Amino acid sequence: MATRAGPTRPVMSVAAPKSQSWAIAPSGRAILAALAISFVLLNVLYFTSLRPKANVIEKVQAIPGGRVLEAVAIGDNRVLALTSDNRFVLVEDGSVVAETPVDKTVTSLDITADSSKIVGGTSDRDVIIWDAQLNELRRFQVNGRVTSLKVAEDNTVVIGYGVGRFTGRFNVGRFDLQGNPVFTKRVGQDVNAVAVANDLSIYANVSGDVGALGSDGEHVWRGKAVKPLLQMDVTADGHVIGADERGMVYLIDVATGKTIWNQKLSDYRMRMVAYDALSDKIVAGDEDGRLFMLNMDGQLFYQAKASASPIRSFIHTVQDNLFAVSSNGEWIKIDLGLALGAQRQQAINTGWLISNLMLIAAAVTTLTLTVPRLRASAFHTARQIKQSKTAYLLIAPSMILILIFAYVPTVMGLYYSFTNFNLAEPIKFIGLDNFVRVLTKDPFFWVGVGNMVLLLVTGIIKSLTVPLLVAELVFWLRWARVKYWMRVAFIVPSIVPGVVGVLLWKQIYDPQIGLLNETLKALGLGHLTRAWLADANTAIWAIIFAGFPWVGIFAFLIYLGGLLNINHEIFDAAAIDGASAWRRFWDIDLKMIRPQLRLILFFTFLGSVQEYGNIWIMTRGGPGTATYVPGLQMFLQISAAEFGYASAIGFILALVVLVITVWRFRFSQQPDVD
Amino acid sequence: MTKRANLTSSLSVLALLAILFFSFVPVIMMVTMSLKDSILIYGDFWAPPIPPMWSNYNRALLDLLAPAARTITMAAVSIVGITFFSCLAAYAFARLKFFGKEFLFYLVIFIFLVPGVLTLTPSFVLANTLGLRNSLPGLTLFYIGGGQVFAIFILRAFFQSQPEEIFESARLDGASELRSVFAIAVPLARPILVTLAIMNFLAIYNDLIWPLLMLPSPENRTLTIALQAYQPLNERLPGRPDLGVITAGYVFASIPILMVFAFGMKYYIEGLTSGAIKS
Repeated sequence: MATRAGPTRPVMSVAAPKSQSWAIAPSGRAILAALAISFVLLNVLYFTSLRPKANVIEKVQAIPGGRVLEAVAIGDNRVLALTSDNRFVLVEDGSVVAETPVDKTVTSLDITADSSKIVGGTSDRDVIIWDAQLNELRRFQVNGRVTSLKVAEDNTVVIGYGVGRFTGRFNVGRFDLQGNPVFTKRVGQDVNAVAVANDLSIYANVSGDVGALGSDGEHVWRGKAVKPLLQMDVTADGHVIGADERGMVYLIDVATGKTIWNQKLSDYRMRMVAYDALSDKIVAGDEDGRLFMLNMDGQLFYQAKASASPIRSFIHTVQDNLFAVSSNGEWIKIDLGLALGAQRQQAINTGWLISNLMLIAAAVTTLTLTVPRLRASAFHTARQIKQSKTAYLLIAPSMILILIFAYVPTVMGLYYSFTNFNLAEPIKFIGLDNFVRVLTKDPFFWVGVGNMVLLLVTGIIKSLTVPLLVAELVFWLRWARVKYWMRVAFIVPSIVPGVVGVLLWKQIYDPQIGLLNETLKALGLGHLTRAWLADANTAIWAIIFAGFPWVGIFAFLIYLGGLLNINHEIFDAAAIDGASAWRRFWDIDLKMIRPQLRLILFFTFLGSVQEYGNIWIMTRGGPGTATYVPGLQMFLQISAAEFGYASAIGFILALVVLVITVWRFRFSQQPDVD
Repeated sequence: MTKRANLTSSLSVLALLAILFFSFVPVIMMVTMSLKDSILIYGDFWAPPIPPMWSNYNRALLDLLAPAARTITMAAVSIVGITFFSCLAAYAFARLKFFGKEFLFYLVIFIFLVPGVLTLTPSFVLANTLGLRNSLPGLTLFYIGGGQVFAIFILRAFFQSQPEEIFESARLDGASELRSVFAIAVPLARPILVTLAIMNFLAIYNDLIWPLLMLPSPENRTLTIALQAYQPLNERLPGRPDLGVITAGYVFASIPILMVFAFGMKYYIEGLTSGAIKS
């Protein structure tokens, strides 16, 4: 029994006299308070000033214009970058020192071991060799577009090339710098990456094959990766590092082709993986601009969001600094000493925070238990909760259902609208991007809003006129029997399910055999017939007109109920005063059923903003976008698995609904005729 | 005076009959078409359905019986779930004193302010995550969850209006709270419960968008999904919809609602006109 205390329940004896409650050990509490305050102050001090702050990542916008496709280091502080607008840019210490245009689209780039020659492969079958000053030395041709190339220690170059896309006509070849082949070998589908370890030429292709070719061009081993590798490099031991399109990095044994370890680094595809000889580490970068550093045993020891755009190329490390180039042309320098220190610091901070929280919890508990008044109320609350058991059991199923099916989606919806949630890329927080896109870049949305407003205005007119007229006429009928049967008769058409009602109207508008066109023909107005729903000029009006004469049964009954609830003496008084029916309608009826009018207005509003099933059935939003509404657009976005964007549209519509709802509840709370 | 009033009333009846006629146009069209051979519909649109072609109904029944049974079962289970749980909760909120009552009730009505457009997308994702998608029990669970708030809100108001003395005397007689709910509160609330059941039935029976998202595979189709995609083939009408059978399907789909109204119309009209569901 939630309202009564059971007989066996012990009664807590806690109530210290009120006058005493502040007298007990005030000094002890003062010390406690002082400790707490200094503790808080120390914390604030620590987090604002004592905590070391360091600029771990430095970025310079080094390469202007175009996106960086590839970059290689020439010596310690020079970088040669290739941009998407076909230029070579030579950067020294973060600033441009030279640039030359290239006449072909270079797809892959590498440099000889002594940094004296640069080798590039084009999509046009050419392999071009430049000297370090970017003067072209020579070029030769291979039999297809070059997808990847690597220069070996012995100044030969391993090239992946082939014809078409997903054709199976791809080769790996090893050539000297004059263009004489050592071997060429057909390896199947498009080659993503090549690597070279002494006399082994290693390739990875789009179907996930990884293989190693000996100097005779025959397979030494071949294997299959889980996902196709996109990038490869070779370590000092000659083992192969690979990175795939699902954020995984592998170390592959060069002798056998077996995977030594693999490590999932990211949800995004990897855009770069490289071995750094100086530090004996592996560096990787993903599509999202994150940079990773791994030990040779595959242990990730540093990661950071280094850029807004994919990390395209890793250059090298110099002492404790790591240099990389992102695809939007940023020259990125990461101070690894500081970075690792900062990472340690972060771990310390977390520990600090947790111990803080625990201390605060302990302090609050002690305070509650030592101060009699607080202790009393704590016990009181605990007892109340215990006594409310029955009530909690009764509401529990409903509350759990509401929590799961109402609150959880609400919170999810609010969150999703600020993310890029879809099935194509990993979920990511993108701030207001969805809203900016909806409100400024999405033409469909505003077409939809226009239609929605039109539907709203006409919907209000429809629900305030005909149902009210019918309710008035029925209410003032003099014969009770007729009155009853009229009421029933008006309900009968609504036995047709909503979807069927809409389908019937779709049938009425049918251009070939629709009732509307047939009636027009029968009346000799054949020239007026048209495809009402397929004509952009009439489609939205056809949707509005559907349901004629719009005797909404819900509105009708609510109005009728309002009229029935009016005290009859008021009508009698009006009749004695000789008021005409017209006057009575305006002065009494309308005023007395104002709450009902407001209710219907509100429901019409909710319906107009949120309903689009009828439009989906009739036109699917067409022809073109003639009958689009934002709700329908949201539905289509869900069907296209664009959940983030759909949530943002839902959020905007919900805001509109919410504003009106709050306004309505404030309005209806005013002292009125209720 | 009376004569004039009679005249006005007669004119009112005439006006009402005119409006009534237009309201019935789609229904009349549906019924006549459903009794005609589709070849006759295409040949002479205005021809009367003589002799009536009942085989249209055989065909429609064959195609739509399964989705209709599915929908009605789902709606029935949902309604039982909604009213059962919300009765318990509404009773507690209306009759019992307990710690955190105000807060918890605000928690219930606050969610009223959240419109369906906001939760549609995340509900879809949630259904996917919980493995409730493409399953009728899953959809039912969503309906039960979604129906709670409104039902609790309405029922609490009704339970509060019941006189406290009945419950007090029941307690003195040693009745448990659970017995009080089902022996006293619920029977007294029958009109409002029937109204709630009808409203929920109409909402679930007519729902299209949410089942479309929830039930992608054909073997789970609800009646609305089946109806909007209903294109029975007829080799005598190459490339044209068999309108007779389609409209027979529409008539068939209207029968459950007709039955619900026949059974509960009294309560429904009472519920809506009594002002219980007002602001």
